[in-house]
Formats: sequence, structure tokens, C-alpha cells
Amino acid sequence: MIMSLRQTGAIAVHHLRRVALDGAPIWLIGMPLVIIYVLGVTMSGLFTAEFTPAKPFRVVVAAAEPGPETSGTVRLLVGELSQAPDFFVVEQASGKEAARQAVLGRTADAAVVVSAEGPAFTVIASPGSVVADVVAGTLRHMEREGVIASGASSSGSPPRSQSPAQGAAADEAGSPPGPVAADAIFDAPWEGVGAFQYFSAAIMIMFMTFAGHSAMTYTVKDRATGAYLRIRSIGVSRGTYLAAGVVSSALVGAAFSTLMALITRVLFHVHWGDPLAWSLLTVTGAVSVAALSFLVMAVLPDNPKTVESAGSTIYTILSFLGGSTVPLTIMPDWFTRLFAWLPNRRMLDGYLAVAQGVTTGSLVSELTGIIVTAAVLMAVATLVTRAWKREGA
Amino acid sequence: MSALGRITTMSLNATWRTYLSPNNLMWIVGIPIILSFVISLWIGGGDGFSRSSEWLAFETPKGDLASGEYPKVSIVFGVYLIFVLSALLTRAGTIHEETTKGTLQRTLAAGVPQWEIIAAHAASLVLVGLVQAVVFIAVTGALGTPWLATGWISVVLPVLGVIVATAGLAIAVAGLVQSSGLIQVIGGGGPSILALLGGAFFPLEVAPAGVQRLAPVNPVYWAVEALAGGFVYDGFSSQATPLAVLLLIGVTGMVIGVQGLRRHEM
Repeated sequence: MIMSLRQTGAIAVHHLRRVALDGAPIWLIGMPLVIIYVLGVTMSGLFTAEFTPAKPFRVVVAAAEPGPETSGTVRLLVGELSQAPDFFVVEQASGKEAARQAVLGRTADAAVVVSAEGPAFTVIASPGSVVADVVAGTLRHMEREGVIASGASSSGSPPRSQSPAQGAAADEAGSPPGPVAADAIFDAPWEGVGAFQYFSAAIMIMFMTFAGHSAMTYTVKDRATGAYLRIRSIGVSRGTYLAAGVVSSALVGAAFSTLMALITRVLFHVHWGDPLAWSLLTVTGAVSVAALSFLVMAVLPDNPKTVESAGSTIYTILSFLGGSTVPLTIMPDWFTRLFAWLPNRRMLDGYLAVAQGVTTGSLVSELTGIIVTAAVLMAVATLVTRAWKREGA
Repeated sequence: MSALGRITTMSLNATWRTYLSPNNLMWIVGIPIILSFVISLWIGGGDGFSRSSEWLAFETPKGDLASGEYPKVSIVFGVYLIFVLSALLTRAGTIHEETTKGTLQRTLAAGVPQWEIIAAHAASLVLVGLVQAVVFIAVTGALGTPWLATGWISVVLPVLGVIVATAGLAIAVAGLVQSSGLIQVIGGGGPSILALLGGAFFPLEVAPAGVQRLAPVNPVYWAVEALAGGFVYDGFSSQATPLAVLLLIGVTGMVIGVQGLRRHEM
């Protein structure tokens, strides 16, 4: 037993050394850091309710048909929107067609057309654009405040302490959060974290899977080169050798995560929360990744390239479903619920919750879920290996 | 055999071999189609203006319903951009692999001029891109992406522009980077970063001012502009500038890449 453990340890450390010396640190450490930086900077707007555009939107306002009622509303809108110079640069157009041409010719980002018939306000903008949402949000806020009426007639301007655009942003943000219980955090742990916090955890998990799988690939490479048979001939059992592969995969994953946590703490000031909770998440997560890699290796032929590319494919898809590549903040509710059971998603939820103050005691269900998944994967992989992969096959 | 015949033979052979590999097939067309399908499931249909009310309406700049499909098409186009960049950048490394294997030297020894080999390499990149585009658009179209909602010109021109620009970039990378391993790394990580910085997945209006200023040097930004120009704005007149920039990127990349390859391969 002691001998087997020593053999497992020796082989696992050797695999770890091979990963470290194989040029992997350049792409396993450098690449995720670059991605975290780029995503942290570019996606910061998706993680905060306080949005101000980098440059104000160009908006034209026009009346669909001439008349004192619509003209009054147009003047009121121009005046109100102009109160938010950080958001809007406002001009008046001669009519609906002129306003549309301004957007079509891209001299304006959006147009608001006031009409006495049909909908009182029509926003003309590129579908799905931010400017369409901001202008519409501002109009809704003004309607709620009684500044404009849904019948296109002005109702006077009550005194306010904030511009319509700022008010619209406040409407979207809701009331400021107070202390939150752990259960509430786990409902949507990505809410309330910054872009760097989110992507440091998400990208770390994604590359942890790649790192763990690269270690497992060495087990297959050893079969291809004959090293496996030589090691077997000196008395190392098959189980010991496979266990070493799993252990090395988990070790590489955990070591990688620890290194990334330290680097992101220094570079991006990412807060990782309770060290004990973080460590438990990392170790169980690394074991679950190793178990999945073991299963991939078990069901595929002993071809290193096949195992490597199959693992890359599976982990790339899992990363997408688990919120590593596209943030869960913009995913629909059904998507976030449907894939919440995935081990990489559980890890992401866990890391984000721990960063928000959740401690080990509240992590039990996440940790149990990851451990159960790892145990099932490991059991299936072992059964497949025993049934399909006879020695020497 | 004439020079044109040799270039055609070599480029067709390289394209054929690319698509014979199950691994390439999976990464060039399989995964992007699967990802696009999954993404299109949660984006759904609609005109991108989901919050209309009795007193507040939305219209597209063209004023039609068809251009309201733009959000759905643009997201799938974003996935396509990542994978066309990834596929062509990765394939660019094959010319160095040929040097390692010795097939480049054997071809040169057989009397084929080096410029023909480089031209065939560039042509095969364009062909790989064209095959990928045809398969991707056909299959995702069959799965529900309304590519042709505003006419074929809205889609075909941006796709051709992207293929030319990306082939040029790929040749430039092959000319400047001599390690096929490093080219693989660039092909793996670079496209996602370019796509995010170019506004392929979310509007650049939410990005910081610095990112917005950097966007015009990014081919993805111009590809998205070309698609938006055709779909949402004034058709070809809105597409002309983005297409010209994509062409310029492609030609500049080819010139830089050819110079690099001529210097290093001989």
C-alpha cells in the first residue's frame, strides 16, 4: 500500500514537472491573464448599473406631423434630454423622414419622433443597440415622473434633483443592496461582483480544466511511447499508474488555480474571500476536472492527439455553458438554471459567493455537488477502463 | 503545367487535406455551428425591440421589419468571425510545418518557384475560408438564422471582406512568426480578444473610450460595421467604407506576410 502511494506520488510529480517544463506556463498563465485583462476592461459596463457612455449619444427629435401639441412636446424633449450632456447631444429635425435619414446616414445614433396619432413616441435606432435602450428608458422615466404624457402633450416639468437619463439609470438599478444572506447570494452570485472579479474566477476555471487535462494527456502519451509498459515491467500496477494520472491532473489544476489566484490578486486586486472555503472549492474542483479527464481518456482510443483535442472540445463547450466565456449576467434565467449543476459552473458560483463573504459552512451544497459529480465520473471511468481497455490493448 | 495550374493544384490539395482531417472539420465548421445554434436558442427571434408599449414604439432606421432581425444575425456572425479568424490563422502555420517536414524543400527542388508556393498557400487560405462560410451560413440558416432577411448582399459582401482580410492577416502572421506552435497559440486566443474588442458580441457603446478608439484598427470592428451597414443602415453605400478597410487590411497583410516568408524560407 505504502509502495503504491509512493509510486503514485513519484509518477504524479513527474507529470507535473513535464507540464511545467513543456512551455505550458506561457499559454496557461500568460493567455488567461491577457483575456482577464481584456474582458475586465471591455465588459465592465455589463457589471455595473451606473452606465455612462464614453461619448454622448447623438439624438434628433422631430414631430411626425406639424401642430402646436407635438411641437411643444418636441421642444420639451429637446430641453429635457439636453439636461444630460454626458448622455445626449440633442438636435431638432424638421420631420420624421429627416430624423430617419439622420439615423440612416449615421449622423445621429437615434431619433425620437413625437406623434399625435398612434404611439406618442417612436424611437428610431439600430435594433439591439444600447442607445435605443437608453433613450427608451429615459422616456419611460420622464413619463413616470409626469414630465411627458403618453398622449404626447406636455404636462409641465416638476422639480427634480437628477437628469432624466440619471433617473432612468437609477430606475434600472433599483435600491442599493444591504447585507445579504448566503442563500440570496447563491441565487445569482454574479450579481454584485465586478468584471475583473467575475472573469478572474471564470477564466481561471476554464484554464484550470485545460491544465488538468494536459497532465492527463501524458498518461496516454506514455502508452504511445512505450514508457507505460516499461514502468509496468518494473512492478507498478495498472491501477497505480492510472491513479497517478488522476492525481497529477488534480495537482496541476490546483497548483494552477493557486498561482492564478495569487497573480490576479496582485495584478487586478481581485478579492478571493475566505482562504479555507477557497481551498476546499479548488481541491474538489480540481478533482472533478481530473475525473472528467479520466473519463475522456477511458472512452477514447489511446491516441494522445485524439484525447487532447476531445478534451479541448469538451472543456470549451463546458466553459461556455458554465459562464466562463459569456458572462452569466447577460444570460437568460433558464440558461443559468439549466446548467447550474455542471461542476465548473458550481465552482464559479462558489468562488463568486466566497468572494462576497460566504464561508465554508454555507458552501456545503456546492462542495457536495462537486464531490458527487467527481465520484460518479470516476466510477464510470473506472468501469469503462476495466470493461473496454484490457491490458496491452 | 503552367504557374496558374500549379498554384490551383497546390491550393486545392491543401484545402482538401484541411477538410479531410476530422479534427479540422470539427473546429472549422462543427463547433461554430453547434455554438451558434445554442446561442440562437436563447436569443430567439423578434425584432430586437422587446419593450414596446401603447405609447412607445420602435422602428429600425430602414423602417422595415426585416432589419429587425439584425441582433440575432449579428450574434451568429460574431461566432463566425471568431472561427474564421481562428481557422485561417491556425492554417497559416502549415507553411512552416512544411519546412519542418521537408516537403517545402522538396517542392522547391522540383523546380517550383517559391512565389508560387506562397501564392498557393494564400489561395488555400481563401478557399478554406470560402468553404467554411458556405457550410456555416447554409447550416445555421437551415437552423433558423435569418441571414437573407434583407437580401444576400447584406451578408455576402461582409463575409467576403472578412475572408480577404483574415487571409491577409494570416499570411502576415505566418511571415512574422516562424514557429507553428506560436501561431497555434495566436490562432487560439487572438480571435476571441479581437471579437470582444471589435464589438462582435456586445455594442462597443458600453466599452470604455480607449477601447472604442482602438476599434478602427481591428478587422472585426469593420466586419461588424459592414454587416450592420447592409442590414440596418443604407445598404451598399453604408458597406463601402468598411469593405474598403477590410480589403486594405487583407492586401497590407499579404504584402507584409510575403516579404516575411521570402526572407525566412529561402
